Amino acid sequence: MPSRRRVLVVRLLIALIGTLAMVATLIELKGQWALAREQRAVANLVKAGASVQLLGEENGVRYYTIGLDGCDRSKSNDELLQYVCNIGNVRALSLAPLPLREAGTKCLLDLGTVELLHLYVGDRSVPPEMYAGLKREMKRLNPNMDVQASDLDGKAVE
Amino acid sequence: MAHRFWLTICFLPSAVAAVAAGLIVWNMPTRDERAIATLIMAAAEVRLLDSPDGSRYFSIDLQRCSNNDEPLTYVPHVPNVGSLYLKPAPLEDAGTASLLRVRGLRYLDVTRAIASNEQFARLGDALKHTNPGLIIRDDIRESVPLNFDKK
Repeated sequence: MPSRRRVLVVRLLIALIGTLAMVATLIELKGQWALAREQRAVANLVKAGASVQLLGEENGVRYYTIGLDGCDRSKSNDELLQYVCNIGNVRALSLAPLPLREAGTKCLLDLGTVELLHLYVGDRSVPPEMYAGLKREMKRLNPNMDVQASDLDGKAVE
Repeated sequence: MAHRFWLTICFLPSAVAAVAAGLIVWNMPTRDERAIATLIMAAAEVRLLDSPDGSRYFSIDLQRCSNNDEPLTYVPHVPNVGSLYLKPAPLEDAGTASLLRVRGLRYLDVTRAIASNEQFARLGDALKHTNPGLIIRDDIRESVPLNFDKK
C-alpha cells in the first residue's frame, strides 16, 4: 500500500504535467489558429481568381498586395473582403468592379494597414456618393492612405 | 469529495490540452490550401488562369523565391498546375524529385543554368513521360510564343 505522501506526489506530478501540456497546447493553438486563418484566406482568394502577392515581412508580420479585379464575377466584393480581412496585413488593395455593401465597407474600414486603395465607381459598382463618403472616412482613419477610383472604362474618378 | 477533487485537478488540464489539440487539427487548412498559401508566403506568384479549352489551371512563378527546391516541394500538392516558371538557380535533387511528382503540367519555363546538360536532358525526358504534351522552354532552344497563359 503506497504511502499517502507518495500518492500525493504522483497526483501533483500528473497535474503539473497536464497543466504544462495544456499551456503549451493553448499557446500553439493561438499561433496555429491565426496562421490557418491567413492560409485559408490567401488560398481562397487565389482560387477565386484574385492576385495575392507577398510584399515583404516586418517583425515576423507578412504584408501583401491584393488585387480583386480579376476575380470570378460570381463572388461579391463583400465576400472577397471577408478573406482580405482574415489576412489582415494588406498594404495595397484593388477591389473588383462590383457593388460594395455594408459588410464589405466595414471590412475596409477595419483594415488599418492599407496604404493604397483602388476601387471602381459607377452604376454597377460603387455609387459616387458612397465612394465620396468612404474616401472621407478612410482618409480620416488613415491620412496617409491613397484612395483612387476609376470608372468601368478605366478613366480616373476624383 | 477529495477523490473527485484530485481527479479534476489531475485530468482537467490534460483534457483541455486534448481539446485544444483537436481544435488545431480541425482548423487546419486542406493540403492544397496550405500549398497555395505557403507558396505565396515564399514570394511565389500563384494565379488561376483560363486555358483556351475553357478549363482553369494554376500558373506558378518562382522567380521571386529564394531558391527552387523548397517551394517546389509544395507544387505537387497544388491541383491543376498548368504552367510553372522556375527561378534561374540551381535545381538540387530534392527539387528534381518534387518536379517529377507534378502531373498535368503543360508548360515549364526553365533555363539551362539549373542543371547540367545531361541532367537537364534526363529531367526533360522524364517530365514529358509523366506530363504528356508538356512544352519545355529554356534559353537555348527556340523560344515558344508566350501566349499560353491567358487571363
